[in-house]
Amino acid sequence: MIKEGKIGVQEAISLITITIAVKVCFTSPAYVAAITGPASWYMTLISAMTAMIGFTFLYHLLKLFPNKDLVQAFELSMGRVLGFVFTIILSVFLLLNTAVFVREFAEVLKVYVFPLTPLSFLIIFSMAAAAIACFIGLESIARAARLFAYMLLIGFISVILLAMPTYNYHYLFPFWGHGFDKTVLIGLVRSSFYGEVILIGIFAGSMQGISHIRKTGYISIAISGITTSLTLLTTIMAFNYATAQETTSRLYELTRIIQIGNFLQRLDPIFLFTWCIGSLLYLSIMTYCTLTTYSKAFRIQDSRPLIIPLLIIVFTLSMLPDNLVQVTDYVHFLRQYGWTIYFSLPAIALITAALRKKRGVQDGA
Amino acid sequence: MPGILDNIKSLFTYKPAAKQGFELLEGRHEGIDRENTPEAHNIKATEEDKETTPEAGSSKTMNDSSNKDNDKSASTKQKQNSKVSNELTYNLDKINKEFASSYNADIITRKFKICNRTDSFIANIDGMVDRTLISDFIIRPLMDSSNFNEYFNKSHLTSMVDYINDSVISVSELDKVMDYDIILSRILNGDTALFVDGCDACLMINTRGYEKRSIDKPIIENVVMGSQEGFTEHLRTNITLIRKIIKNKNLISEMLNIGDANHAFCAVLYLNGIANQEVVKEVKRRIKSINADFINGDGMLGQYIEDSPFSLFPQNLVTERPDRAASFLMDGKVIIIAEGTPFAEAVPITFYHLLQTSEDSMLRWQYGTFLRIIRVFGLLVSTLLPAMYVALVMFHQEMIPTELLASIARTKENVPFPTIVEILLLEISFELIREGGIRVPGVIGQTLGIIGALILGQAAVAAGLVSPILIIVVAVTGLGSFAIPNYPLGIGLRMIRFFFTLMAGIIGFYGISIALFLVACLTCNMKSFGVPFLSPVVPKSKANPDLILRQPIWRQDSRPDFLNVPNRKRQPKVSRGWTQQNNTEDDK
Repeated sequence: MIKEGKIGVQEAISLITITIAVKVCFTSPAYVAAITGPASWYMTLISAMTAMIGFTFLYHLLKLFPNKDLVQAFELSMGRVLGFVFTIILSVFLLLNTAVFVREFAEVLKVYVFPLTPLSFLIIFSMAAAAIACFIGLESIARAARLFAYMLLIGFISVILLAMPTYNYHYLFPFWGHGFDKTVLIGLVRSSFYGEVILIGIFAGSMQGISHIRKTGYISIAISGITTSLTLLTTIMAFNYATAQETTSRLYELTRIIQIGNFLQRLDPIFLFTWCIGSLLYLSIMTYCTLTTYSKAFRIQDSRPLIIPLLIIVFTLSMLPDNLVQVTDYVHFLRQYGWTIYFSLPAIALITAALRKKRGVQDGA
Repeated sequence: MPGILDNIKSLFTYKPAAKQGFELLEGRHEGIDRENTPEAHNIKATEEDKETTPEAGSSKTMNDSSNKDNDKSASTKQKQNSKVSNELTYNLDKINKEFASSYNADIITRKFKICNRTDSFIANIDGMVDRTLISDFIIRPLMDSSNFNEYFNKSHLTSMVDYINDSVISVSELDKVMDYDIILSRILNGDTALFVDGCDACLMINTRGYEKRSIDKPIIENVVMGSQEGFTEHLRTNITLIRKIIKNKNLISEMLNIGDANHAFCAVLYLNGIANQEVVKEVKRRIKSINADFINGDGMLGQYIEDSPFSLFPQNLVTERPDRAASFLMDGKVIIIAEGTPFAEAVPITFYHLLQTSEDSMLRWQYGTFLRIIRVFGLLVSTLLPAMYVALVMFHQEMIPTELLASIARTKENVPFPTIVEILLLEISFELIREGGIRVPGVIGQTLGIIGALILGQAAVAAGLVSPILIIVVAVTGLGSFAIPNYPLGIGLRMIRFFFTLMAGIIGFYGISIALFLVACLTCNMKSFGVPFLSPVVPKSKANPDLILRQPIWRQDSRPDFLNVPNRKRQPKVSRGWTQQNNTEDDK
């Protein structure tokens, strides 16, 4: 088995927050600007609150089965066969998410930084880094996330503050966007943006108790919600919503327009570090969780030999879309319907466990 | 003339083939001289004997009963051989044989009569002992018959050896030993063995008196303020230097044997009641389990006991300063001092210890913090600056301000190489200068550094091999690496720098990000004696405000949490009692 180890609350919060929030650097905000207009910044807060409700199902499921992870909880509540089916669905969904993310990341890199570099070259490098991180194990990935969390936070806050001269508060109007009802509805559906919170369930065995899981889940969604909302708010203020929906990456565009005097005009490559490291953490943990769920479904003891084959599959899947437009379509499909997997599966398992009166055994009982 | 004639003659006459020169070939006996005493040559004989005994025991079940008897008798005989005999001639032969004294010039055996009556001899190694001590305080009192009046008057109430031990020899440290393994080992360490006819024990007398270097200034851990004493190569001196600082009865030093062939010792020092006993046990377990024939100094010992041998970061902190070793002991760490090098090793350590110096705590907290920030900056510069330059020039030119970009482009116009080749050339040259500067003795080394840095750089620019800005980049990188206080960490970072530069050359800032991510993951995975290498930052644990930013010394009231020490409190919350005292009371 890959070394799982133990991770603390701070490490888990850093990991989950980065995993959720790093997506804001890519194509989602532009799409959100198109469908909700200037209201996107509070739409995402509605999504975050919905995700908290979704996480509550997961939390209660894990509370029913103490010291068990999500895969074990599926099996205990629904039986071996249905549990297996749920685990495999989850694993495949994580795999698709990983593949789409890596392609989206590479596409955006190509658009802004490496226009002449082949996509496959960019993807292979990130895959190799993710493979090494997976070999090292969850504990190290989580610790690395904690180590980089401050750097990423400082980077993010710097961008927001340095771009201040470009903000125009009038761009926030019309305040209700395309209508409050529409904003709420989209907010509810796009709770999938925060769906990665389910990863807590996958590595619940490495967490130290249910209270840590609860803290990690809610705090991670809250921090990533605030971060995403701030990004959407500031980029709308900097570009207005009409322009914002045209840009590939709103946050990167924001870093481009920063100007500090005559000498420091283009600081965007500096912020590339925060982007890349966040994305590498996302890739590593998603690959790790895909691998863990798959291995647990098939009772595979040592999943290390599967890392390279899995990454080859991820690479192949990521190369399937023809262009960025197609990739963006996939991304929005996953953001739109991801909740059906992320939040529904734990909810169904919880209801089934309640109906079948299944419960785990407490330690020392 | 006769030589020429001989040469001409040899062209026409037969001559048997001349004997070939020395060649080291593989043979049946693998270098053992069969003609000379085989036991004396087998430097690991004692250990092999120890190893073969259990093997013989395990084979008992498989062999027949005759083999059992043979084994038993052999082991009994072996035991008898390893004990001191009553017969003096046997003991003398045994010593002569063990040390191959027929052709080993260093072993000295001196026969004499105690009180002009009893035969005896002493054995020691020439050069390892204090000759005056032996002649004045061992041989002279033994030959003086007046010292033995009481012994002969009371008609041998005790054995001769006990009497000598109690009443004759006036040396501070001596004891009775019967086991040859111990006797041989102690003779090799500079003790003198006294064998007396008719006694089945020998007296081991501490007569160590070999040459050793006096205490000197530390060479690689210089400080402006703070102690100027450094460790020496002598183990006992080093322990004394620490005891001089920590005058505490709980300071324990345990001696362990390392190196099967060179019979060296190492001391494990810790403070009872402060150090975590689990760590102490683990340190001793690792050291005791080492089965190597030659270990000389902490550098070698450290490599045997570290957790991640393939990591580029050191996991044991090597220091040549007794004051630093003492402060580690007070923190609850374990200090290992091996014979042979003027260093001590502290375990467990974290990455942040490698950026600290003993001077930090001697200076006021503001100065200490400032110096540490400079060091961290030096670390970042020495690791990332060349990589950043390569990434900027090759991939992200848009970030360079226009004026600077024009200047770089102008100077680079005449350079035929790509930036990555340029920087690698210069970096390797710089590493050569640095290595040459250390190896070349004394003043020439310093001169080489200056000549290398100035003239080579200038000439390279003039010849159009490198651009001038690159000289600045490499020079600043070098300066940054000089600011890293830990020598092994400095070397590790110099190596990692090449990895970063290559990644930057391949794919710019994205490559540097990947390299950073990988280095971070690998470093997060490291442990030093069970303590995560990046503690107390990841995983988060409580520690004094003394990591990079130092707070005033009176706020540093606890020992690090990651060490799980039994006594976490270093001082009370209010350590400056005078701040709580009423001034008016003092006035009265």
